Amino acid sequence: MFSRTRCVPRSEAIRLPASDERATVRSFHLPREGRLWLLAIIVMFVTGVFKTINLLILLAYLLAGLFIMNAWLVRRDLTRLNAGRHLDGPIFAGQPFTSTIQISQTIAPERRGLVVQDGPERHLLLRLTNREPLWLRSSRTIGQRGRHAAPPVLASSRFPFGLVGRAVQIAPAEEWVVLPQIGTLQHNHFWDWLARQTRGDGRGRLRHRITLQEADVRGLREFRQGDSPRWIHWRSSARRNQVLVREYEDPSPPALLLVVEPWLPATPSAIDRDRLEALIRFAATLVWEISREPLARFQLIVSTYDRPIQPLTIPMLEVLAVENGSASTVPPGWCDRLSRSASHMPILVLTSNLNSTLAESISRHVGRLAAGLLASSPISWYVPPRPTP
Amino acid sequence: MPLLRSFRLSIYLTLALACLSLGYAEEGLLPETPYITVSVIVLIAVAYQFEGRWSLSLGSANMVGAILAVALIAWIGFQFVRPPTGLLEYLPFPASLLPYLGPVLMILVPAKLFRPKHIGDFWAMQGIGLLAVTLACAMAYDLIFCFLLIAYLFSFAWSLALFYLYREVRPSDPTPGEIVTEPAPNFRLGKLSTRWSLLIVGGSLLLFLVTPRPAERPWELSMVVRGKLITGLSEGLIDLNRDGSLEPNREVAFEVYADDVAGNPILNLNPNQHWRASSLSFYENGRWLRDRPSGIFVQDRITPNQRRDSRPFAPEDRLAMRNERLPDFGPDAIYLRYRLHRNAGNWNILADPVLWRSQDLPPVYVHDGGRGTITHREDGQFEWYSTPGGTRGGYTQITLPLTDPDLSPPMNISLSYQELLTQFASAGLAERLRRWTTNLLVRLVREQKLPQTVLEENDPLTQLPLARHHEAIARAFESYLAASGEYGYSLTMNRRDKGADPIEDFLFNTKTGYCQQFASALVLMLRSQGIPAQLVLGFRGGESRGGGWYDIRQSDAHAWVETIVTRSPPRSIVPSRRGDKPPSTEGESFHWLTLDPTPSTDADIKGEGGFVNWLWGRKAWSESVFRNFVLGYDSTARQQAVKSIVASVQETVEAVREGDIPWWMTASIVGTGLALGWIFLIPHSSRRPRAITQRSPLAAPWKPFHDRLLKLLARRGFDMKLGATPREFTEEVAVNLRSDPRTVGVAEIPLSIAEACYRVCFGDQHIPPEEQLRLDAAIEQLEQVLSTARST
Repeated sequence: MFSRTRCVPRSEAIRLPASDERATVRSFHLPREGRLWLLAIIVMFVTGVFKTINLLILLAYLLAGLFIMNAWLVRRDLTRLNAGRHLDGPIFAGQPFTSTIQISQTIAPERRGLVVQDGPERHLLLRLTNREPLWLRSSRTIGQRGRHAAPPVLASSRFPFGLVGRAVQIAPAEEWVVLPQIGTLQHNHFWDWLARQTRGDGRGRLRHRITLQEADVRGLREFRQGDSPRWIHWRSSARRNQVLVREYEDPSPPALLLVVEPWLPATPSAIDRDRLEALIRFAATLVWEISREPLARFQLIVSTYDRPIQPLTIPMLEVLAVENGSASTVPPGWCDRLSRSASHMPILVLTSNLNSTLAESISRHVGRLAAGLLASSPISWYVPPRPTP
Repeated sequence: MPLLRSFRLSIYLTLALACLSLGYAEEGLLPETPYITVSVIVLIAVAYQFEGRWSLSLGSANMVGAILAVALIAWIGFQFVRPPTGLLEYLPFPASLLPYLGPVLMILVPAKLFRPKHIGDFWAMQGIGLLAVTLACAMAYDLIFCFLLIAYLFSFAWSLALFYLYREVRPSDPTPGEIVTEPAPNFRLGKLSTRWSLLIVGGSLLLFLVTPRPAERPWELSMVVRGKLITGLSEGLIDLNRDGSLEPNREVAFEVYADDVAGNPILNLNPNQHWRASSLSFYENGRWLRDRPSGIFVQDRITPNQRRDSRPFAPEDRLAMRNERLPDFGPDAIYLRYRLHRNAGNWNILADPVLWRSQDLPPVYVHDGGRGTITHREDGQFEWYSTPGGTRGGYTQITLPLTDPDLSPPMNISLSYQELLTQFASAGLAERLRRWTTNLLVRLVREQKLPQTVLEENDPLTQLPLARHHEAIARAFESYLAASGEYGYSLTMNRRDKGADPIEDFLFNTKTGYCQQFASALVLMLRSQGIPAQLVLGFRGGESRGGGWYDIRQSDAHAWVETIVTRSPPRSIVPSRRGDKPPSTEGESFHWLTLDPTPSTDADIKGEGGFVNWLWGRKAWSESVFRNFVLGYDSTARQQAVKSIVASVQETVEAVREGDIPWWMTASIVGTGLALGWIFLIPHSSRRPRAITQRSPLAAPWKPFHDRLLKLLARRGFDMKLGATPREFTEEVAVNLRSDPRTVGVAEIPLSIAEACYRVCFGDQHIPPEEQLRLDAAIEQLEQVLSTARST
């Protein structure tokens, strides 16, 4: 048996060239062509009536009919549109992201010629049927982190004749939090560096030595600065004429308490701002890389943010994204905020302040060494992202 | 069809239709218009072919524009040296200049097309096209233009829709052939444009018909000034200078019902009956002018209307009424009841000759509603001047079957008027014609068609034949033109010597023409021999449709000649009334003698086969509708249309009520109409189910309970601020809940919901079913606590 299939028109749209022109919400407006059209109708009608030229009156009515048809179609096509805007994921500065507008209607059999504008992105809806919604995806990039005002999604139309225009808002304006740029972190080197810094290698004596569990030996590797001399495998070193150290399997999950001090002077210079941005990018990279490690224990503390931060990646990045820096220094009792659980985690203090003493304060408070790092200083295990303009 | 190709096709088609409409509307006004139209359309076709593949540079385009401008200037210069077209004489200024604008507009179109085009240029071209159509509307005259206008509207709507799309998708720097970077979709707007246009045409026509109109006559450029003429009476002048063909017009001009004294229909009315409408007496340069003041009076003045018809006739007393209002011509009298159609113009048509009796009632009375004054004219016409509110409801004429239907009743015509009817505006033309007709007289005498005395007995002063020979000469000339075989009838008039007078050209060169040429030639021939004559316009014949009714169509329009003859003793045509003194038998009386020099072969527009006749009938009906309801639609027509519609509706309702039309038939007709409208006007896709069958891919598993939480909080006055993240929002809510001891216990629930959302949305984690149940329960708890807190 054969079944008859019928071609049902599908909704379809094309992306238009991006335009910097911002449409505005207007119930009805007459473009220049529409105004000239009306003028022509009036002139024809008046001439036709005055000179009793019937065909001229009829032509004026026909032109008026086109105008009215245009206005009616524009009004109908922009009425009762259901639309919503969705982001397909978090927005990172400098990284393209996808914004999706879902648009549908159930009133008219089909609507044509609508232009949907989402920021600079424009889509022309060739056909929007009442059976099938449309998803208009557009990709774009926002260069700067922070709160970003996303304009409302507008649908406008002058279809079919371009004589009458109308624009309506189909999705409200939004404010997006653009997350900081993410750099590259070399995990092993970072953890090694952190271990050295928090053990105090090359930094003077430690108050409390925190020993790593050295139960399982994974293999040998070259000696690096900061390695304990106890780890040197003398026999192999002698054999290869190269200082080799034992590499241990650390069964404990990685843990880090990251303290960010976003310091910015009251009258910041461009260098100060760059330094703050570098700090945010650095901290965001650490958050992104470490908090997503399985079983990792990670906690973020921002010195200017006085509320607890949920230990999830995106919330932590959001806190960093909206951080604007502060000229005030950390108050004396600030270290009391460090939780008890944090006292057992390696502490890394990232700061944009060249003269910061926060790491020392924390070290004194917790009774062990906290690693301190100026974010703008070059370091081997971190490759910062390329700054966006 | 890709967008760019569709758009090009639509805009070129629209412009071509605009030029074609203008060219068609101007046809006949300027002889060169057809050539210009064809040339412009060919140029448009060439431009379409080369569009996108080859384009002129700006300089070259300007050069082409300059060449076209030079051609235009040359054409304008030609207007000053060309033979006169008569436009400036026939048409009032500035309407007479309108035809000259047409070629200018048409040439502008290709000049613009060959230039590099931007978006604004497309509007400019459409503007020129619209201007051309507007101009055409002022000059159009027939139904074909209406079809062109509708075709233009279809194409215009299509082009505008494509232009809108083209403008949206074009690149910022348009390159021919490349519009969009994505695959160009097909734009099938033909059906939509057709639907829009149908709706617009229907609505516009309806609005057009109900629009109030002034009482004055609608604008219509005279048909006479066109080379292309149609049969029928013209309102304007008669111009014999024009070339062109005469197209038959089968519209019914008026209807006549003939009956006798007893009211019995007359079925054998004279098939060659002349129906007179107007007489023309002044001829100059191939043109006949009307209404030259004469200042003569008929001998027997008729009695004015005894009283005006102010009440309608009832059918049963129609005979009594007409006997009361018309003179008594005896038992042989024929009563002709006229019903004029709109296309008969403003003429008052009467059967020729018009018979009347001295000191008696007028031979015509006006039916109901025709209030006003009736005035008879010397040439047998009558006019009535309607009072406000009066209408032409038809009229009835009384006449008699005559033994000599070409002879009018006696009348006294002044010598000055007789002399007027012998004059020529051009002495040269008179001299040339006199020489030619004198030779013709010699020839006719030689052929024994005239007695020798015609040549021998001349007026000593003018050396022209005496009056007693006038009738014989007139009949001989009539016979010469109609039956000698030297002259033939044709609906096409082609001038051979355009420098000569058209009648000279007809008599000496072409020797073919239609009734106006023959009648005009005879008038001038008679005048050249000093015989007074005038041209008469009207109709001849008629088509019986049974029951005493006769249709006289525009194709029956005719022209003939009247000359003045004498009868001695005076001859009375109309029987005397009882008691009147017997007519005088001394002296002589003047009569108008009807002469018809047209060969009787002008029936070539009748007698076709059934289908052809049916086609002619449909065409005539369509033309009639167009003329009555579009071109010549005025307040009177509007009132008549409203009355007709109301009457039709009333008749239909009455018929349905009385059972003449079964109710099921009415229901079927209405249902069929609604079904057809539904099929053709309502889009097919609207009849399909409207359910959206696809689910958004954006729906995430955390959305339901998150949305539920947002709705719940919104009901309690917690609105999510613009740009706030779920975490910020729920923290704010939690702070508020903590501040109230009644809700402090559920303050953490929004936070936990937000945390779950984050975990799912950004942490790629899955919420197990048991946690989902727990979240649902938490939301229910929150809702319950909030409701309780609010109520207390």
